Amino acid sequence: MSKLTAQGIRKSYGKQEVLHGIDLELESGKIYGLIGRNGAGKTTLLSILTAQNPASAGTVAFEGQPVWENPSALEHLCFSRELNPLTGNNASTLKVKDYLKVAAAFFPHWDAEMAEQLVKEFGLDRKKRISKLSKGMLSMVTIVVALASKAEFTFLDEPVAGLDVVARERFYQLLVEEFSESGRTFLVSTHIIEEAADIFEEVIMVDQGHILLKENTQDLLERSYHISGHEEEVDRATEGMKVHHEEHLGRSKGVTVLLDPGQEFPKDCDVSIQKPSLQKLFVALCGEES
Amino acid sequence: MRTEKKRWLFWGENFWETLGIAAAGALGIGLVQAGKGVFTGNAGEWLLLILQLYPYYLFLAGVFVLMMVIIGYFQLMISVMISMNATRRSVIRELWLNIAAVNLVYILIAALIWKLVPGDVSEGGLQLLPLLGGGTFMLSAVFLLFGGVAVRWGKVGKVIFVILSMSAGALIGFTVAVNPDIAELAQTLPGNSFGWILGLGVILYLAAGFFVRKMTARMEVRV
Repeated sequence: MSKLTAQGIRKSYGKQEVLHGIDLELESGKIYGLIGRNGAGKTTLLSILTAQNPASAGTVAFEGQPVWENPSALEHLCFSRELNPLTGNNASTLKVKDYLKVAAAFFPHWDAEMAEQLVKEFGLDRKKRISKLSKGMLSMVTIVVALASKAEFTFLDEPVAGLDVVARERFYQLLVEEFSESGRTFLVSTHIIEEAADIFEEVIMVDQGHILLKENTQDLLERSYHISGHEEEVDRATEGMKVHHEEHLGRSKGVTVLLDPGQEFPKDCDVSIQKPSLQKLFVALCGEES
Repeated sequence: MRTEKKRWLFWGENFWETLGIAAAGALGIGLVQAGKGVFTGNAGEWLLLILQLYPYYLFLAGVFVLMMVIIGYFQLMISVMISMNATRRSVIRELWLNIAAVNLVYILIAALIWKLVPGDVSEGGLQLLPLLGGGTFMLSAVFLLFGGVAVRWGKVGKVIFVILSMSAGALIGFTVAVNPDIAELAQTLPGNSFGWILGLGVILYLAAGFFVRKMTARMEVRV
């Protein structure tokens, strides 16, 4: 089982530190979900994990080998980042075919046949400049590169941004099919949490440059609860527990809690106990404005 | 297909494209000159003269093409290649080799034409070849350094670099202008005395490669 390990990752832009000592271990053969608010540091983290940007401190290693400027480690990785035609001169001035040509030349395991099939399926115009593509088409280019790279660890940054619901479903289908056939590891960063939650074996939540949690999705949801009722009853039921995201309506209160092993709710509390969705849990954990 | 072979093919394509554009540009310059009525005499003499002058046009067009290619790579392609898992080291090395190869081919084409096509212009061209070759290597070095400075220091770096380069050019031009002896001396030097310029050009190109590698060692990808 291969591992990609990040230790003590810090990243600063000038005086502003955006990643604060992140430790992360990714194992092969899983689909990870990476969720976090805008500006939480997701893209920065992914770019550092794949040596596209240098960390200010810390190390990233694949099977014990440093990833930075190391072709034998990098050949196992692919970071297909969100393309933005507004970022000036870069990839946006290339035509789709030229962008894919670079990918074919530099990804060692590039599957040209798969790339061709996906381009046809998505109806991408190879002769069109990336800057002229719609947001959905840009996402499709990202997806083609990610899937056809055949990299052991593949990171996708907002791959479904701009895709309509049919295209998003097709992407999830393709991802699961590819995962089942190849056992590749995928890490998908997304804001559309509910749709993707079912395919994430593990979820990683990033908040303000920290990893808030990294846990098996099912285990996480099993220990997540939303408690609501009279304020006093809710306080009694959650005594000793860490509560997140309190909601108040008159004398009523609602909170989200994550139970630690061994914790239980008192049996005689008059409260409503519900299971939050992953999205609601995320909002509860990360939704407070700093 | 193995990665190395794919990358060779990729750079090979770029090499031929760069050369092709320069060659076509040189031909264009020749045709423009012909259209202006620069060449006189019969068709045979006319063609012979264009052939003899073609290498000069190739160096002229070639330098502009190299400038566009190098700047284009630093602005665009290098980031894209790194985003596709190429290391910074390998991309700079391969670009450096690619540009060096183009420069060498310019020199080879010029040498071949001037060796094969008889005439005074060809004889003079062969004497000046080391100067022309050295000049393109030097300019390629400048373009590479400009790219590296832009990556390392951004817009401020670019502005300072341009100011410094223009100042250096102005200083050299002014020195030659106020010292006519220097200009006369240059004209009387036998051809093989320009060999040191070719040598200097190659050394500067080698140094540029070293410095650019340092400047891009921690380059951030902006795709």
